[in-house]
Amino acid sequence: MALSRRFQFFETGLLRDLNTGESFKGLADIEGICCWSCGHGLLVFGDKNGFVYLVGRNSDGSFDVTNFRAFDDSTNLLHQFAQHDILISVGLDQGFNEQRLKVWSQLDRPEADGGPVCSRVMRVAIDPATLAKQQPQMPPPFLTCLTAHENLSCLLLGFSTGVVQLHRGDVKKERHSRCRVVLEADGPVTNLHCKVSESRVTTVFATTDKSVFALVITAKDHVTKICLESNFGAAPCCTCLSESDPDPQLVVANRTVAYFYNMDGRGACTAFDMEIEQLRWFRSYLVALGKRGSITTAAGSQQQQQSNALKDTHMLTVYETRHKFAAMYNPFRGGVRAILAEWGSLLLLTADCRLHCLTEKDAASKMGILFKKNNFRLAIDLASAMRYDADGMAEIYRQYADYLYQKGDFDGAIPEYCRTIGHLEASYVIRKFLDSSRIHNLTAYLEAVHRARLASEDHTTLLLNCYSKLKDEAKLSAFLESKDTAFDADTAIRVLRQAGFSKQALALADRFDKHEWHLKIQVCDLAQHSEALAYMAKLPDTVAMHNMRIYGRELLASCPAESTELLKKLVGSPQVSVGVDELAPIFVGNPNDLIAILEHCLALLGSPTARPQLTQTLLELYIQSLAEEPATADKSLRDKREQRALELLKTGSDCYDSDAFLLRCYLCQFWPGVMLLCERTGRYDLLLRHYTERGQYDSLFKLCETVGHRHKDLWRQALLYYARSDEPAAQQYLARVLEYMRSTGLMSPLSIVSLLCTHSQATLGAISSFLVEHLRDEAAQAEADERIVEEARTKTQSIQRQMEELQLQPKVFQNQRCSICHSQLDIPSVHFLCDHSFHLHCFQSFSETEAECPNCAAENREALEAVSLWRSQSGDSSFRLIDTLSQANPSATFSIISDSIAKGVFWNGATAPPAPPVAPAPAPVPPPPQPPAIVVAKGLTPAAPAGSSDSGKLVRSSSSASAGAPSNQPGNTREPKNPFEAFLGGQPPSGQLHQSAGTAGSATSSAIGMHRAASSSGMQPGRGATQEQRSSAATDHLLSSSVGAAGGATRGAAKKEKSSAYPDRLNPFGMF
Amino acid sequence: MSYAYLFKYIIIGDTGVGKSCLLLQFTDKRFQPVHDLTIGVEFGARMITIDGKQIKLQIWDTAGQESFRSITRSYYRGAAGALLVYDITRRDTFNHLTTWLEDARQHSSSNMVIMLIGNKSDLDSRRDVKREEGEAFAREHGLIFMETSAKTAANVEEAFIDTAKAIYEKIQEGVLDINNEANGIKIGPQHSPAGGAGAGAGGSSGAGGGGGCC
Repeated sequence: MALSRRFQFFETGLLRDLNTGESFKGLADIEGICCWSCGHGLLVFGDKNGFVYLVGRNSDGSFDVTNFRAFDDSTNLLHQFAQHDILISVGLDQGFNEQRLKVWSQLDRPEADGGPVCSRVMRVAIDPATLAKQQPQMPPPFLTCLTAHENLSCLLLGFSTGVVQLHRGDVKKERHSRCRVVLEADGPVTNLHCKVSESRVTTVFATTDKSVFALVITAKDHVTKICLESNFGAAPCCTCLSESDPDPQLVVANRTVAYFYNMDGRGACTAFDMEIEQLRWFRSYLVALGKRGSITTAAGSQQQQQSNALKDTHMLTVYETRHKFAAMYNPFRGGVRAILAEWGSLLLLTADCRLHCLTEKDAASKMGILFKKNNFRLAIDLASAMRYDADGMAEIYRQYADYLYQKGDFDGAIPEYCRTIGHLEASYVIRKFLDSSRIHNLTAYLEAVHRARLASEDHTTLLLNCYSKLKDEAKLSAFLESKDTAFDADTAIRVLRQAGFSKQALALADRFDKHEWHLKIQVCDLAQHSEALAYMAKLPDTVAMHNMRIYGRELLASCPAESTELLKKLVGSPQVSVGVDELAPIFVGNPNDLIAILEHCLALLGSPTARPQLTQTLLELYIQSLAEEPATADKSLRDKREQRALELLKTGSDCYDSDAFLLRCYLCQFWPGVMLLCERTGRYDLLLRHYTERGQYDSLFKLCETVGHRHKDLWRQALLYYARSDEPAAQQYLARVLEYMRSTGLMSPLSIVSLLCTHSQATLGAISSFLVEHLRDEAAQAEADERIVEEARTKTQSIQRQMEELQLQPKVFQNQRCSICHSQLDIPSVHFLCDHSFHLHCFQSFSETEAECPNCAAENREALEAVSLWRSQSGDSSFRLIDTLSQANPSATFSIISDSIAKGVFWNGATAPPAPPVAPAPAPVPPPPQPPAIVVAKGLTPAAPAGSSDSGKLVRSSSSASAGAPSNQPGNTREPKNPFEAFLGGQPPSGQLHQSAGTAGSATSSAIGMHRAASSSGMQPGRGATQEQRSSAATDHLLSSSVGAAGGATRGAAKKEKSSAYPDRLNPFGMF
Repeated sequence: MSYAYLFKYIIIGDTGVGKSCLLLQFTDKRFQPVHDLTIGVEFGARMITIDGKQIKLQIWDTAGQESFRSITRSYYRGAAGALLVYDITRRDTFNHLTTWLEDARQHSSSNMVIMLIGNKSDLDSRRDVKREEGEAFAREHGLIFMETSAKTAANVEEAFIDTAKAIYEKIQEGVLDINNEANGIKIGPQHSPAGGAGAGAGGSSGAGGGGGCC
């Protein structure tokens, strides 16, 4: 009948002085200990001689034993308050024939000072009424037990007669004490316990040797008696109050069984394997002391047992009532007299007056013991009762689970492992259950992890894999749909897809709004394209577009119409910005739909230039489709496309690279486009090549006609091509080309002939008409040239004549109007040889220098400056001329040379005229002085107009040119350069040519005029000689310049007469 | 918690037939595969409802071992119902039923309702006592019969509640004197007839500050 669970949760040993390490022997010499109590840090013992011994423990761990005489005769009962420094003792004093109760305080007062103070002495007397009932021959009643409540206001006395007295009032003082008999039982009272509830109801448990009573005493001393047990009572010290319950429970030991009582009566009971002699409650333990040997013996031999009771071995059982195990089970040889509890330990007073100390082990040690015995269940219960923290509990669960696992009880281990979730690393458990035969356990664990919302992605993966391995679709669905599991949706979907649970994955994707997953599953796994499209249509446009980029291709392949519709919708959405490069991959192999989409886009955008890339792509597609599709496929569509492509090419010219598209059009043989682009880029050669390759003479010629005037090379190539061809049509076109050549002079006849000679196909007949025509033209030209030469010669002669006149003949000034103010000329007036006359005041106010005609001054200066500038530029002028010539347009060669002559480039040699300014000096040549011829004579008739109409024209033009000179003063330095530069530039506009001719001419005339004036009047004798020399030099210079200029002018005039498209006329034999 | 009646039950039967497990299943709705021997007598309580009335069941779970028989006997008194349990996988537990029944009849009031329970019905493969035998025994001795499983909780509720119903019917029929505590029936604090409560019943309610005393 042993308790199945026994542990050593207590350490036993003799009570030892912590200082010396020696066992406590303070009570060894005391004999006749008959009563004891403990509390307030003291063990209290009373002996037969009336002494009370107090055992106290010092803070250093040593013990003090003090004693004092409490009674003269003997000490019977002791009660030490647990929380007060008060001791109640009952004993016999000499001279009194009744027991006296003494209350002691100041128990720690040293003996020298008189020891503890006795604050109250009370006669223990039974109520007279009770006494009266007493039979006279019976022994006088005596006190058998006492108890007091810690509130010091309630004292209970039990008598041998079965009377229980309740004394209310301060325990320490006699005064105000009220005594009342609360129970009159039929046998001696053996034990008393009392408890006061919050409502001041006192509950008293009293036992006699025959029965057990409970008394409920209200504050008004209303007593209710309950008989809890009438079959048996309890011996002294065989009861205790359980402290673990809020309701007071009395434990009564009867023989081997401890019965529990509450106010309702008997409750549970626990049997011990010994005859119980003493009970005590310690913390949550029921401490029972008894003897084993007596169990089997019959009741009859009890007396014999008692005689050698002390010599027998006592068993001590410390029983945990809640979890039902023995926290200690120890035999004590020699017998135990008393169980005491103080200083946090259980203390046993043995028969030989030694004290054994039982100290409860700490929680960790207890757990260790339980683990060692594999009693995990109890460990868990205990730990939770001890309020272990979660980590501690988890550790116990883990140990338990490990134990079960080792035993092979995997099903049992899993629930325990589940309890460790959140504390124990999940991988620890998972690793143990990875074996495929334990997949159920693993699943259960992982489910628990998910329920705890602690699952990582890996856990989810593993769990779903478990499900798929188990093929447990129902469980899987339950798991996925469960609201109290937490997992990573993405992982779950991924795993489900891998495992082939597409439907579940889809449901999950829906639940978590994972649109991408949804579509991925729909498209890739289930191939439900139309559903996917419908789903996508419901999504926000940006999301839908994103997915369309991914799945568009597949969707398009299966549901082209719907996909295209959706795309159109998306493209139109304002939130979505779709690049063509994004659309294009979707439509791989499906250009028609892409075209449709792009057209839609373009229509939405309105202008093709808004999205260059789109336009470009669309164009590409058009071109490509036109090239790829056979012409017979769909004529109307084709035409439409062609038209649209052309339209786009035209309107969206900014959007694309013309060259690239030209190439594209060319490669795709989209000729209208090529045409368009060639025109834009000027790459007609491509077009031409195309025509030539195809023998499209007509188109080729048309091309030449339309654009040939800008791209003359086309003609040449056309010619070459026609010449090569031996078809009659080609010959016809050859004639037309030649005709054109002739009319425009595009190629010299010689080169044409040489070109044609290389290709045998061309016959002489083909070009004979051309040659004839050409020769005729040449003849006409020659005639015209001769005429011009004649003209020039005449002009030169007239100028020479004029010069002679100026030098040799008197000059008659016949001007009647002032050249400045254009009013009637009157004296004093100034006349210049250039046929300008001025009022003196006009002249003086207008002219800058007296030596110059103000009208001609500007022109003269320009001419002179041009010359000086030429010379001032560094380097040999002749080399410079060569450079200029080499750079210049061949057609301008003559004009450059003549211009150079005019500027005196060739005077640099030994035959140069004796002119000082010709020296290559950087400084500008000082203008030759032009002394005015002042005529003072009155009535001078104006001279008749001199010179031919030509010279008059020149003068006029000069005057018109010089009229603007004063106002153009700031730009003067640059002005003269202009014509010069124009010459060097090689392609002067004809207008400029004229101007320069005019300039040269006017310079000539003014120089001539000056010369005349200087030489004829001789009005300034001092300077005459040198001036004359200079003047003549200048004149020579200017003359020659004027000749060149005249040549240039002539040529310019000729040019103007002829078409500007024929610049090579002067060197027809091809300086190119 | 107020109740109309309190019925005291006692569970008896050989050791290891699953008496404690039946109680645990009934009160805590759980099953402990490893259960220690009951040393002495244990105690459990649960509220049930019969005929719209709250009834508190106070159940004494006794030790089955022979050595505890004397303790067990002291608990028969004041029990209104008894569950006499045997193990369907162990014939000897069935064979001892007569002894148990004698004990019960001897120490309890004659009105005690006894239910015969063949426990461990989940272990049908190891069955040693046929259901019919149990039924026959019950019929012979005027007991209610039921096979239960404390492990699967099959029929556990029914066993306790049917017993309570039988007691309740007896009360209604007037067979049981509810004022005699020896019958194992108490009337709840609020339901006690005014002034007529027995001394014991009144006393117990007085401690809780209940109605009838003052």
